[in-house]
Amino acid sequence: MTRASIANALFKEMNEERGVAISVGESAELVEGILRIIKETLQKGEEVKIPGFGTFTTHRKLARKGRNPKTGEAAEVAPRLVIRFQASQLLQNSILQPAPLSHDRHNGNGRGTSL
Amino acid sequence: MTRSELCKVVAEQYPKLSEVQSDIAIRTLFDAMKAAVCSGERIEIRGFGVFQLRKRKARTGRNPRTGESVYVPPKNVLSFKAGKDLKERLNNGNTLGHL
Repeated sequence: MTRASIANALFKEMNEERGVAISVGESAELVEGILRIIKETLQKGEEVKIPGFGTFTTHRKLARKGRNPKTGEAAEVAPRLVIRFQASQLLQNSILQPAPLSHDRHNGNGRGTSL
Repeated sequence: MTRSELCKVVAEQYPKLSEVQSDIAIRTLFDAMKAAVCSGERIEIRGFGVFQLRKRKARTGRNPRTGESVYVPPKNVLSFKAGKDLKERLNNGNTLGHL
């Protein structure tokens, strides 16, 4: 799935289901705008919580000594901010899970098969 | 920022949409993304990031209270990796000031 298919889904839903007339271009622009606002919020260091989807937070990483994996040379990894995303438990529970194998041990111990 | 706050900002920036309509738009966007990840599809949004399922192997865990070993089956978890633009915004922007 790409931003184009998201824009397409938005276009269909707004026009066909919600009776809001927006063009294909406007849908694409709207998707872009929503994503931009989320990015700007994270840029300010603020978290973004979308119920039923997940939470985006920013975290500081301190400088550390690393190595260039290709050359083995020591290098400084600069301090930086990173994004952490925690999927909502609701979403995590409805995600496609690998089929439980019949030879899985302790199948059905209550904590075993999550879905 | 919560979804309702996001709605307000979207409605402000897109005067064509009411707050209710921007709420619908935001819900539709995330619903479409949810449907995709639930079926195991990867979502790649350039400049924002990639959502995809990652496999976790089965392992033997422990009940922290009793110390008993517990079998944990393999599972898929949703992971997100920030895209280039998002990473650059975080690290070249004014936020560096309070690192």
